[in-house]
Amino acid sequence: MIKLQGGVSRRQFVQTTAAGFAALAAPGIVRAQDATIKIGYVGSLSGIRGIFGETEQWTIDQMTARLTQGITVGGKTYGVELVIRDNQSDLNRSGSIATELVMRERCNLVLAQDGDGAAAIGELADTRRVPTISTMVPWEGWFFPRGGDPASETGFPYSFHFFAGAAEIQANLVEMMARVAPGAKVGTLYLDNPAGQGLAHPEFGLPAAIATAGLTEVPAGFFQQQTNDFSSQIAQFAAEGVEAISGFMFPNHFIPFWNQAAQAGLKPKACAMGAAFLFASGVEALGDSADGLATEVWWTPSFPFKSSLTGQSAAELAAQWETETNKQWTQPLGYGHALWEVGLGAIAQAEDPLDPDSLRAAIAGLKLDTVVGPVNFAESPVKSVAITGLVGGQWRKLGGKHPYELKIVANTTMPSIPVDMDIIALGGA
Amino acid sequence: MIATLADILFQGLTLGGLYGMIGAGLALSYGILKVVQLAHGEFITLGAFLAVGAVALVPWLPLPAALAAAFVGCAALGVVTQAAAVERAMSFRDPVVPMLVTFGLSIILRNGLVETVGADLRGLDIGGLAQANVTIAGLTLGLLPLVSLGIALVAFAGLGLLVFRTRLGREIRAVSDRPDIAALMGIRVTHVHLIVAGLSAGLAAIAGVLLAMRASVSPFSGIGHLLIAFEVVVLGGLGSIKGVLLAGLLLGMTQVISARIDPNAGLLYVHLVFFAALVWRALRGGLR
Repeated sequence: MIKLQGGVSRRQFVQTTAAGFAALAAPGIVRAQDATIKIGYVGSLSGIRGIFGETEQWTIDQMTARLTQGITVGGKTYGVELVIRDNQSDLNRSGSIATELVMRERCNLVLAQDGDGAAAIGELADTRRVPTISTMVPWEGWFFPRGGDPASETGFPYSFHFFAGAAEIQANLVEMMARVAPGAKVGTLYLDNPAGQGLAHPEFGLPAAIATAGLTEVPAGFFQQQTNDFSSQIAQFAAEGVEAISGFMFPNHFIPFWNQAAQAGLKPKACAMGAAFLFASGVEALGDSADGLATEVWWTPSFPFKSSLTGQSAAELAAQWETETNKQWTQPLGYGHALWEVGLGAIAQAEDPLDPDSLRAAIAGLKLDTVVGPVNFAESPVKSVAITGLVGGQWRKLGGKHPYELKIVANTTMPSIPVDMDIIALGGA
Repeated sequence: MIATLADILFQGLTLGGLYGMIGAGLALSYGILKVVQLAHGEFITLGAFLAVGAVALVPWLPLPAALAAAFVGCAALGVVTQAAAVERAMSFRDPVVPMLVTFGLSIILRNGLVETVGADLRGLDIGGLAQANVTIAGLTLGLLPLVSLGIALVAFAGLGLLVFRTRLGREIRAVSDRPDIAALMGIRVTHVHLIVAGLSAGLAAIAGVLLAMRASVSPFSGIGHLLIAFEVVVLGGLGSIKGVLLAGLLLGMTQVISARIDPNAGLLYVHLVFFAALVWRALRGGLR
């Protein structure tokens, strides 16, 4: 009951062969269907954000297997056709995929596991009446660039998004620093990109949150994408006696920064950085000195939630991934799974999933407990958006199966998630 | 004030030494083979990954051994690719042909790396060197930048000795100047080409190891390095060994000083200095 339209994998070679096999296999699998729901998918399976999509192919394979029997909605069984596309983390490619999924494939529902992918498809989906659900970027980053109005009664026509918000990210970063180093001077530096500029916003960004928490900001301002030398910022932090460091950096910036800081003898008590420590690989590259680096946490295996599709707990989902792939879990594993939960949950609740307005109403009225926690479009203060929870965590070197484990240490923004461990200062202090 | 100036000087010189090192292999390839080696960035990345792999296999591996492993591995690949592809492309009169071949090579190497080691960032920390520091006269200096600068200077000195003080060096220079006459004198031109290609890739590997220790590498980091390498080589005078080192130091100093004044500038002033130097040389008729 399922037709594969070109299996896409991160690996070019596998991609080619898989496409070949799929093309060969497709005619045998397709059976006469009265009604088929076509679900389009776009994600960053490869390219610079490939690590955000590392677990996606695995999740897609699982969903493909689940959906071979089709879906039953209101006593009627529908076949499911998946159109899986990799945008290679590229905005232009996202654009052509959006056209393909909406115009040529005429999907009934599109799932977007990438900010670029979601941004590219939003307007088209709205005008062409294709319900679209996206995730993986803070909701403000999806909502406001598209001209969203938080006070709107209706929201966007057909596009929806679920993720945590930037305010919760900042609250967690600042809380963790304030607990380790109360009243400290916080050195900040931001990558000069939209996300970094958002976080550096004087009113709504980190500067305001830092001041509210009784900390003093020592701003080193923005730095450019290709920067590989941070001696200037470090000299400034050292001169000001900075005890905590925050801002927005990617791992390829943070690693030389952190090494140079250590070389200059700068030993902060806390470091809570946006984006830099989302993945274990960026932390492992720092050797032993990463114990206690703090980050925002969207999802870990210790989230006390279950999948609405498989009934697995967060821990079981992560364990299955680790057993089958022999790799450490990553945070997008939970959100990648939840994206399908939300999409299939909406289809299950729609009166007629093939009718865009019926499916749109089902998404707008959706209130679902997923593996990442409650996804609630129905009672959201901002229409078209379901704001999910977020906590704060530290990377800890605990001598377990993996070099570093992400442990939850702060949960004021989402108290339903238990804290794993006590917060520690950097350098084992 | 003195301490700040000393720190700027230190950071600039060490970064510059690294930049010089990044350009060395490309200068050799361009200066002697007359091949614009577009896979240079990938050789740098590959060298870094070879060292990362060697350290993963043998955790107590000392730095010289890791450097040697990267050098030998990359040099071997340099020789093989030269023999298999670039040498044949060089027989075309059109210089675009070898350029296209090395461009293709860079794509193969990059995706080969993604295929085998994945897209993750890797760092290289040998004996805690990446974060170690020494205090000299009240000034805290990173040990790694010092060691990197030392390695770069030794590599340049060794290269200079090889090219200007040995028989092989004489052959290399002869092949560079007039390959046809060098061949008449009994020099095996292809043989010299292979050695130079190997040396070029090996030098790239050393730069890669130093970069991996300073920051991190991923299979995609080659292109950024290639840009720096080009600026260093062009500024240094297309194939001059000493010029490359000086150009690297100039660009490194520029970057560090401009960052103190305007931390958000990134590499802007580096590119501006490069541009200004080109314009100045063009005005003096130095561009042919």
